[in-house]
Amino acid sequence: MSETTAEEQSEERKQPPSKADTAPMSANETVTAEGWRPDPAEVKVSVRDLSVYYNGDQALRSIDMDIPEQSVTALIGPSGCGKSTFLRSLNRMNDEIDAARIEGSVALDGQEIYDEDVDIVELRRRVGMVFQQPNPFPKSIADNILYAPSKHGDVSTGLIDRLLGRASPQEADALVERSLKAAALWDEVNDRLDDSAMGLSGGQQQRLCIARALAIDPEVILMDEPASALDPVATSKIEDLIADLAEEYTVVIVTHNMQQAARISDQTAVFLTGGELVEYGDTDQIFENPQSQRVEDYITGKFG
Amino acid sequence: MALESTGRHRYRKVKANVMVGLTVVALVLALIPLGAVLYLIASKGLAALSWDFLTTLPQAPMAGEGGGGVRNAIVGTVWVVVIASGFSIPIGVLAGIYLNEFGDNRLGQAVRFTTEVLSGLPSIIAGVVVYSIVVVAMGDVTAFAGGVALSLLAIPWITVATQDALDLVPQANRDASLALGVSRTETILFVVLPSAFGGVITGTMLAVARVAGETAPLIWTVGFSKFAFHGPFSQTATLSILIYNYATSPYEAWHQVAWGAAVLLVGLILVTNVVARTLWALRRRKMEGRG
Repeated sequence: MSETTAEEQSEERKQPPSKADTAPMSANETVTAEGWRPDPAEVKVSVRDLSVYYNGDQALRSIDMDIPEQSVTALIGPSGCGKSTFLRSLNRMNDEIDAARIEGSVALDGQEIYDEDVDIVELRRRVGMVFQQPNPFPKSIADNILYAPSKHGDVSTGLIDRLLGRASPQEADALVERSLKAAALWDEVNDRLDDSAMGLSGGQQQRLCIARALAIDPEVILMDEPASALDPVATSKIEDLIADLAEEYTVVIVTHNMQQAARISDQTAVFLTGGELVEYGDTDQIFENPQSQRVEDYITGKFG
Repeated sequence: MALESTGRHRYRKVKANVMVGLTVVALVLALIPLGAVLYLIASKGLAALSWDFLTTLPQAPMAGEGGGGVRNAIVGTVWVVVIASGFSIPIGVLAGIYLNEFGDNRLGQAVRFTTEVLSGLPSIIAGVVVYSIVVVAMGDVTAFAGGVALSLLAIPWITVATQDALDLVPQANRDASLALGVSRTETILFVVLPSAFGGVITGTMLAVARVAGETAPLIWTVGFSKFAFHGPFSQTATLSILIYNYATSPYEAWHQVAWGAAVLLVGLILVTNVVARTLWALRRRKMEGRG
């Protein structure tokens, strides 16, 4: 990781100066044979020896990876390389697939998420997810935002709350406004919050899905090719938004688009066919000076 | 180059037109029986309809002033159908939810198999079964027993309709909810069911309309009565049994009553169908953001 690139990146992210000072400090960072490790104090998600099988087919092979907090980590690789499977194992969405079997360890802030007594609901409140296809609920824009917070009891909007006088419409309105502003959607929809979310454009729907994920105040946001179904203008809005989000959240994003990974991420993990994590490190280093021939071939388009 | 079709292209065009023509002919042939039934019933039965017909009781044809009205049969049919709905809607809908959302196991497979067998159950069998269990135990044919017999038929239909409707809800909607840390149960209650609501309602109403016209299971279970409705635990007149009894009687006046009852029954089923499908269409338009 070179000093100048890190500073340039920090500038792009508009990070506070203290952040820029600490980020490039490589004293505690080590590059081992298996791959790059961030400063242990900054690790948000720590993956050890993670393997995932679908009905006996191995989708991920013994992945070791540390994801630093308040940064953008891109997962790239050809189709079927396991990058989406990896992403889905970070909030246990693979649990919803009966055929999937998971081995190894994933720790969030040092706490194992695959332990028996872990509450998946609690885990997913802290690790939010945005999917490839925008998937708003067939409800109004405001109700899309308020759905999860009201189920978690963060806001009271239901009929029973209203009858008991417990409803807090101002609080709910504030949450809707805050979430939509954080997802850079407020200015476009603030005059039609009660309209169906299905009437929004694809890019707006995807930003609504991001706003919906932010409304439960997660710490990590997983994004599975969030811009692949969108046009270039909508894509660029999402990319700007991701850069802003990294100031507060830990963003892990799967993308097919290598230029996108190079533009938006701080570190990049390259998965190749067979579910192997071949290389992981500083994004500029991966794209300019990859360690392995396979990664270089993939990045330069000779393979994959 | 000329734009008119020639040679092989002309042949293909002719072939396409012939095929479209054949499908139109098939459509007309399929509609003839439906049209014939509706026309015959309307032409014979509409004349019998009047306010009195709806509000008076049947009377003996010897009186020389017609066969009377069908008030008791209308009330009886409504009671039997309401009783049948009371049993079959909760059981069918909940079973459908179980099958689609939790049924990927041995119990689910067993329930699915049973449902498939039951949905092909000959309706007379439902009547015999309920006769030998409910009627024998209660000592008499009753509206209650008729409702139970009809619910035996309706439960598998409602189960299948519910399961199909839930199956149409995109996985993406469930994933969205689960990924927000909302539990499986709440996801089903607040995301899956509302999306499938129109389909569930439509399927349920169609199943209820279908059993409302059933005759065979009722012969064994509700019997018939010429008197006013006497409560759900006594012999009760229903439109379908009334049609069966009066149409096979030797009296012209009662034949008229049967035709009139046929119009009522078909009208009831038609209206239920139209209402169910309209509800669904409205709901779907609203969900897709066009309403």
